[in-house]
Amino acid sequence: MFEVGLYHYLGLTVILFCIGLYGVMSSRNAIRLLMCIELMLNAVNINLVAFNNYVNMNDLSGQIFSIFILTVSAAEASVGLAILIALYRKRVSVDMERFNLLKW
Amino acid sequence: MDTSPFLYNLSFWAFAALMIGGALGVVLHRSIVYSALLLLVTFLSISAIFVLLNAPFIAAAQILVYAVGLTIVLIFGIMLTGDKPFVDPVGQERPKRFWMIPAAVSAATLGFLVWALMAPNLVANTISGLFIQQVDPATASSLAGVQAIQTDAGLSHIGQLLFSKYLIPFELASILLLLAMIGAIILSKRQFPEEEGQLTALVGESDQQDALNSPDMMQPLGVPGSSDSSQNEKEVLGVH
Repeated sequence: MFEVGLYHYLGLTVILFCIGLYGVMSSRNAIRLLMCIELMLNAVNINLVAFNNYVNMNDLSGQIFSIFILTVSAAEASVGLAILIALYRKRVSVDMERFNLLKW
Repeated sequence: MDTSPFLYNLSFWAFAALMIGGALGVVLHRSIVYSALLLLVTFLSISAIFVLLNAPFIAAAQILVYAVGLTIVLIFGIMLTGDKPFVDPVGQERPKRFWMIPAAVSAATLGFLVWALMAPNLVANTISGLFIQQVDPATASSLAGVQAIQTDAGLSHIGQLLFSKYLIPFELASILLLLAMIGAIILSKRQFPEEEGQLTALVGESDQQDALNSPDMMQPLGVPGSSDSSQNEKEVLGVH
């Protein structure tokens, strides 16, 4: 149990992903929601690097994939924050319950 | 890793505990600023996990992009969108934090993923079906040799892969970053009242159109007194 293997890393990422999922669904602050999305993306990153380390070591494609995920998540966070700031100008709040313009 | 196995295992458990604790703090802490700082803790321990996984380049990129860049951007976002006490025009009470369904869904996801991990040979069969056949069995068996090669030449190997096999995704990623930067600037650009004034001067001077085109549209909907305050702002700015 104390000896660390691939399954320990996978279990760790499963826990991290589910914490992020809970946060995405339950948080009312939109910035916290962005943080939880980053947590989920990081869980996927650890998963890729762990599989790369334990399964297929003479090709570093897993690490390359995690670099791409890093890029996409940086772009996502910047655009998401810009959208949030534009929304904040309209609705002086970042509460998710206030963004209900498209609700009937 | 050429450290002792005991030290390796110990640091894995320590950083895993720190990571899970930080992530729980991000989700559960009441203050958003503490959430951002705990997110920093989580990112740093994730980069330590990357070091344990023989990926020093990813660990450094994690620190540079997430722990430094993203956390600072998020804290700027928190500063710019500080939660003022919001006066609800309808007078409803704020509903309580909604947690039952998210907890149920994420617990179900957790249960499913743990079942998939624990299911006999599910992961192993998938792996062997996907990857093992492509690995040369001689190199796969000599595990220590492969690791030594990788720690020596890992960084240059990543660079060679990025510029040979993954060249087009790399260039697309740079285009994506450029587009995201332009989009973020345009989305968060403040609309200056001077431009709005010129626009309304072009359209016409009637009060109705002024109300439609003026910065009143920037005010929160349904907040009483918002049009008065923006009227005052415009008078102060000398735009009318």
